[in-house]
Amino acid sequence: MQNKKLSEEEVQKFMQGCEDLMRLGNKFTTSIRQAVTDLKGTYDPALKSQYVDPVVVELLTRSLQDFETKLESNLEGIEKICTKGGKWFSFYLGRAIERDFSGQDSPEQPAEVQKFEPKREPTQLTLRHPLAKKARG
Amino acid sequence: MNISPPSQESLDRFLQANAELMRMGETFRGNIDVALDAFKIRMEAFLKSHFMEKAVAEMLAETFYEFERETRTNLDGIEKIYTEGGQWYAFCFGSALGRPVRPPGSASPAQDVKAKGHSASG
Repeated sequence: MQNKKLSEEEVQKFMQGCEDLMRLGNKFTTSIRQAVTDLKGTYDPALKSQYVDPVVVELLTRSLQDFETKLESNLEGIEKICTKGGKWFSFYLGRAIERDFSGQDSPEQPAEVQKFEPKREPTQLTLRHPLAKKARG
Repeated sequence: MNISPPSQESLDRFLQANAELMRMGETFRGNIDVALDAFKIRMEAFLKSHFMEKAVAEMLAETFYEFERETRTNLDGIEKIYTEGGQWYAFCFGSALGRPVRPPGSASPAQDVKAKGHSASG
């Protein structure tokens, strides 16, 4: 167990690490989206050709669309966690140690964080602004 | 600038919410994994059928496996962010407040994730 307070430098390093990690998360989602685009780049012309039975074309197209829809909605969730969640983390850490992290954007209103919570996990998540005011103007 | 420290209860709630957010991210990643598995099963069935020219089937199969590899590598990276990264969040956040927190297993935060991330996006 550790209970030694972090130094100023360590906190700054941690905040930078958080930011990098969140950026990395967004990069991963972008890479997955690019991979889907590449896949479709090959599939679309192949399925439009005469070398595939029309029934297979229809089934495969539907499967691909179904997969793409699921992928996209989950990637959106991941992206929101990496962007909004990351900002909330910085915001709270800043307030907890009574410090302003300049260079970090102010977090959005809690209502916007709430917006994406109930979509996936309606029961548990309680991420909300306790004092209903922003840290910075 | 107006910074007022949050209450103890509010911080506990935030840490709890953070852990849940990480779990939620992991669920999203799992959903993509499951969707990919389902698509793969259907894809392979089509590719094995006789309703597609052999050359086309081979090309589509190759493209799909490349896509699968790329996607799974990136999903692994996302998983690490939500598991290892999430643990480091809680640890550093707790430490910043002077709270007793058990440190996560690895030696350096996000180092593993970063290493994988470079190969994933390349």
